[in-house]
Amino acid sequence: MEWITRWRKRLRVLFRRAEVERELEEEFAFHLEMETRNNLRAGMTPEAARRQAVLTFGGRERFREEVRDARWFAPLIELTPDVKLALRMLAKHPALSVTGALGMAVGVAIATAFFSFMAFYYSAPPLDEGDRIVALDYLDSRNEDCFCTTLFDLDTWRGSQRSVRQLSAFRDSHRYLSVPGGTTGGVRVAEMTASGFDVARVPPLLGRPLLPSDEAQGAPAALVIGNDEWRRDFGADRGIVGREVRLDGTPYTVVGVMPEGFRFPYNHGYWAALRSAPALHGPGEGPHVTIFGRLASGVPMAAAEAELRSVSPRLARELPAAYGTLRPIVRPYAQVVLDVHQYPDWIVWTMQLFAALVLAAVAVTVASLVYARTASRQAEIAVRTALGASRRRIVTQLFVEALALSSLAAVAGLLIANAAFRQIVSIDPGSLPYWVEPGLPASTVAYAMGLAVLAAFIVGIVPALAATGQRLQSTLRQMGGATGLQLGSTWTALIVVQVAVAVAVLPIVIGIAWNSYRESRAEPTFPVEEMLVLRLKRDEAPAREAPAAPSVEQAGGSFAETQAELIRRIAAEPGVLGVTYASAPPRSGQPVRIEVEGGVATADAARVVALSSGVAPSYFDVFGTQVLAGRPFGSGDAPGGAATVVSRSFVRRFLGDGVALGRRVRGTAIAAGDSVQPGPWLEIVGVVDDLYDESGEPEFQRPAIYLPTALGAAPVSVAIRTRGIGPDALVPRLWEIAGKVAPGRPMTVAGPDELRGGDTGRTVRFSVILVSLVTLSVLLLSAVGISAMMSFAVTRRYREIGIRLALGASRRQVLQGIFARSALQLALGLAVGVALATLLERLSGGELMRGQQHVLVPMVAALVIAAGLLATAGPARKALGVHPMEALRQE
Amino acid sequence: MSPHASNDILRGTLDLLILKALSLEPMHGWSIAQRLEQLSGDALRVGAGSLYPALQRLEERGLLVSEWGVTEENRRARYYELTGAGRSALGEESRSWREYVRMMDTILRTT
Repeated sequence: MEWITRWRKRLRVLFRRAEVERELEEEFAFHLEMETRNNLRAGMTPEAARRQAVLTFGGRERFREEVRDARWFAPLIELTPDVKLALRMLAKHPALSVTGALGMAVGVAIATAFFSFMAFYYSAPPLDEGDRIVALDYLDSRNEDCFCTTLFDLDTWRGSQRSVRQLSAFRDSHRYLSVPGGTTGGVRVAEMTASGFDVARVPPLLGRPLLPSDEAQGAPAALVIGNDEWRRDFGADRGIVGREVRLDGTPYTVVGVMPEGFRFPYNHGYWAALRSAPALHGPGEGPHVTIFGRLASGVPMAAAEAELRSVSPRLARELPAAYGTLRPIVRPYAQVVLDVHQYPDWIVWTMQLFAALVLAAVAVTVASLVYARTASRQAEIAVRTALGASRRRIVTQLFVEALALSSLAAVAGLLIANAAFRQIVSIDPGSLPYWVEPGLPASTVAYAMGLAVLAAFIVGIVPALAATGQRLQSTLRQMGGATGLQLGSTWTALIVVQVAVAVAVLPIVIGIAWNSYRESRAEPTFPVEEMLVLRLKRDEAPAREAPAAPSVEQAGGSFAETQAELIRRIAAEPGVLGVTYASAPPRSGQPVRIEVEGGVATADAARVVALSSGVAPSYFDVFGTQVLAGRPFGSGDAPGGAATVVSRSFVRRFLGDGVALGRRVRGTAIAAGDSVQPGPWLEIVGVVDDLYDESGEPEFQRPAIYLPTALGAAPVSVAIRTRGIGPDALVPRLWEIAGKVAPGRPMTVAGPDELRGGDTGRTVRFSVILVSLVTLSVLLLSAVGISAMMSFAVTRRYREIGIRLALGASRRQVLQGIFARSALQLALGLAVGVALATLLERLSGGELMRGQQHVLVPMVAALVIAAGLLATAGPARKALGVHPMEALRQE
Repeated sequence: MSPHASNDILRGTLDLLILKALSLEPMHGWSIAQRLEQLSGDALRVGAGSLYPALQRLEERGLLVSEWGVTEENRRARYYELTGAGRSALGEESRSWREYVRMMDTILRTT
């Protein structure tokens, strides 16, 4: 336990220095006293005894120093004044400190966020030998995930390879859970083969896991529940096994509860059997599933992949259409479920390097500012050197200053990254795998600290070496004069580069920020608080379980009749004001290119896409959409007829706000890869308001073209407008109705939140904040950078200006000279910057600024010019005030 | 730099001597100096300028602990005491010192 005593003392020495020094003093005094007494005993006079003792003892101050030096923290003590000075310098140059720190903070945030991503990339689920769990997948010829593994592949691989055992599959599905007498709501269900539980090697807490017998078609539907869900939704009822709940209206029996912390395969709290009937699915058909298993003992991943490839040629030969271009791969499980497995390690590392380079780029800019400041401290440095400070000592001091700045930036950057991370997780808690903890791991914090040191090196050491390395002697000789570093073409080049980068990059960054801001501001024009949109799904066969009540379809009815019955029953509910339907929910539909008879009136119409959807005659009425011209659809408009209704933004985009009624238009559906024939010509019979008012920003409106529709085999979006009761209160009732009319059919319900933009809206708003923060810091950094460099350049010319004045130059001539040089530097920078911006915009296909470069580039250029000229004016005024005699004396 | 080297040798020797002086009982700084003077037959005078830094160093290395106590004359003084580590360091360093002397002696005799 001696080390405890020792450390207690160490800390005491560090934090209670005054007390420790006092004790040292007391100890010395005691020593002197004893020595004096000894001398007295030897027969000296008191005075002589005392003098002799002091003489033997020597200089107390020197001892004190030596005693201090013997302590462990001596190097720290030596640094203390540096740290103090550093903090003072930071406070003395607030503009430089704030912009420098903000810029570097954003750099650190980007780099650490990426570093956290790397941690996910190399993560493994926290299961027994979790790193042996792998996923099997296909990449297409472009090395991208084709999301094309199906149950057919599971079946093939189960029979043809031996490197990966317990092959399993899951798919993620969103269902609506209702517990009799309990909670209801949307849940995420893992439809997984029973073997998935064998892969996880985690036994259930209660009951049993899923068994292969649960997978058989016609077997009773079994459900396993996660621990959190069991506690939250079922009150930790230990008798839950055997209870019945409903998913999307289908009854399921709870067969087991999993222990705490188990949310495999991704972030799931409900598990249902993946009905595995490969015979029903041909190659490449059926839903996409994620296939995974455990590497057989002793088999490396590369060997498993090699075995898989040996199976592949046969498939490619037999089924060239489906498998001809696919390459099977075996990857760590985490990489596949995070969908990052298409990137090889070196790409991930390169990206990480680039993320760190962002910080390095910012640091270089800050370094040039610091260099300017350091150069203006030439005199101070020279004096300190003359007084005996070594170059190392001065460089250390400047490094500590930079480190103080970059450490602040690193802390801020970590906070930003952490906040961003938590925000992302809070928007959708299930969006990350369950084993990824929100927050920053210790390794990330360490990485950020490493980045701080790197940034401090760039910001502090490089300018310090440059400033201390040369002509110190001459600086000393010229002390009192204003000349320090000789600035020539290098400095001009630096300014030109700085201006050019600002003009090229800033408009793009601002454009992205501005566009994402505007995109996030689409307000619905319909009473969103009263609306619900539901949709029956058709993509899966209805479950074969015995229905609770005879359904329309089982009585021989069609899907159309099912939907009609659903609408009829919902309309009869109390609190329902109106029910209508459309082929697509608001703000979506089939994207089409529009052709206008007699030519297109607006220039950019060719690249604008309209959304086409079929609507019921009552649609605009239920949504409360204003009819601006003509008429809405009536009973006379049959599907397939020639009448169409278009939205306000449609008219603006395609008809140039001209007369719309009576014009004929036709659309060509945009479908990937296929060439589609244009549709028939349609006559515009009405113009309605947009469903979402996109703040009058034409770029973000989605022009809509409506066609009459009727209920048919295709699923429709049913829109319900309520009155008197909140839409949310109606949801349980809707599920009840759906359970009777269409038992087992999956259904989605969207309430006011989703219609308002919901999660997407929040995500967009959040990214807007992030992008704005980056923009702001880059903007500030550029403006301050340019001003600092230009003002510094003028400051360096004080003496020259003074001499010119002394030689009789008029103030006007001198001012002209000063501004001419600044203007030249700015003009050069602007020219290069505008050229770069134009090139970048062209390379991106107009996506970066979306046609706003004519506003953004001049705006930024004006800002840069203003910053540059202002920065010139201040020092220029000061320089004119320099008395010619003073300037001459400095020669 | 040679002055440094000779300092280091002196320093190492002084550390060993202090440990030896403290091996019998805890002592304050002045009496350590006195004891060393005595033991060396007045041949060695340890100045305060070497003594106190050495005490700090040894305490920092965990070979000594110090505690404020009271002398026989009722005067407050800082007493230094060997720790377990100090005791074994004394044994170790005495041994290697003797070996060093023996080696030097052998060399000096043969050449």
